[in-house]
Amino acid sequence: MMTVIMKAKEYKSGVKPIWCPGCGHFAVLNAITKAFAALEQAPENAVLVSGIGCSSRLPAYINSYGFHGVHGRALPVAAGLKVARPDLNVIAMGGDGDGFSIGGNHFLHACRRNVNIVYVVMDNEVYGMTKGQASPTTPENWEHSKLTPHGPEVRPFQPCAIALASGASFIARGYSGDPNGLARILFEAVEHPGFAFVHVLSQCPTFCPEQAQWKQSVHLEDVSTSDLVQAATFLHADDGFAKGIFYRNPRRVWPVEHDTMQSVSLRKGFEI
Amino acid sequence: MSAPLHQDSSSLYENKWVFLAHSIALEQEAADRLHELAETMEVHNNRVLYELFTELAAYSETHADDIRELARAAGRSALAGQGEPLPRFKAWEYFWPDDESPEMFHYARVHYLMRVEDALLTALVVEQGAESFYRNIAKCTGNPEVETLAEQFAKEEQEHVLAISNRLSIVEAAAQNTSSKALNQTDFDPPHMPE
Repeated sequence: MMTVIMKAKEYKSGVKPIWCPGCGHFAVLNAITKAFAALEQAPENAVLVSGIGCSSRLPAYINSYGFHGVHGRALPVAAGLKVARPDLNVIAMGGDGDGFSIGGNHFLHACRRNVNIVYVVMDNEVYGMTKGQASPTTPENWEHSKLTPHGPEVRPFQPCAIALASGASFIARGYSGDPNGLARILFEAVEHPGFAFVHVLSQCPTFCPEQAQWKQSVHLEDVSTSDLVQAATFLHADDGFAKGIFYRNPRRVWPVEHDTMQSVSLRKGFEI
Repeated sequence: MSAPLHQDSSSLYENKWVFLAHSIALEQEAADRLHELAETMEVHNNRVLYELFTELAAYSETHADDIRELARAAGRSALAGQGEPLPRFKAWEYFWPDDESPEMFHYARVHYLMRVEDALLTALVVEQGAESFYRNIAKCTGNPEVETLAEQFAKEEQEHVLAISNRLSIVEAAAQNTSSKALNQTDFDPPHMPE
């Protein structure tokens, strides 16, 4: 693949982000540009695919190809693109509602299928674009939405544990307060052959101002094991604030290349 | 064979070129972040903070340019294709004392209800962080050239600390004499939807 020497900020498009001041997604944007600079990524060989939500605006802010798609459907679009154009670096992205609720089913099967793409979920534990309702990862006692005055009262979704159980071959978590560490994780995720899931704690200062305190809770746990049992044990005890690469175990990617020719003629197969 | 520069944190203290590469990155990253914050405030129609962040970014940009020029005069270029280069580091290979460089305006300190006082207070904290970073290097290095440069940069950061501190005092005094402090912290149209 062609490489180029560019500064991180040269990967930014001329479109000004409309995220709220202090939004963690700015850090993710910067981490992606830093990872691209380190990868010497040619902009025309990268595609960012997103769903719907605040974080899904990100492709517009990067100087590469992008597709701002349908709610919860970033993964099937990204997987289809990668299968059709394996020469491209495809990075799917979105928020916790988009990825774990509306697109939850796609998430499970993308982990299982192991197409060679990166999936970045910017998790702020809230539906920000629709003004602050509880999402799948909202803490069960979060009482800031009038729709859930006693909190969601439901155990939050565990993205990394579910990714492991579903077959993801690379699982990591970054934090918006550490864009450099996140850039390293994204660099490794792009280099990983297979489905790489990157969970990002990305603060929402407008609807969850308490997340400004996350820095005190986040801790580095670069386990980076290829042992499934060790990874499962680690994620079972995870407090949700560990950052680092947790699991990395390359396995066969989909689609599988076969030596034999297709037994059924495509032309014949589509005949009515 | 010695370890590559990016693997050995002592190189920050002992190698002039590594030190200068860090100093440029420190100032340039601070400038980029401040430009980004200015842009955000402009998008959100906060003209006062847009102007303040733009002004602060310009100081960091100037400082970065000065250090680039200093490095160039000493024989190493920070720009690609222009003579022997300074050491290059990936974003996560720098030897910062925390997750980001010491002069970085942390996102967690930014908010849509932010006031000029809040911005100046954070600017003061990050400038103090930069001063402390350079002072520590000046104190710990065994390289006289690095010591001289670190002391010089620490002094410059100290001047920034003093300037921002004075400005903060003026702004805080003005806020106490008016009701603007209370008004600025009140959001008459809070973001949560009244479902």
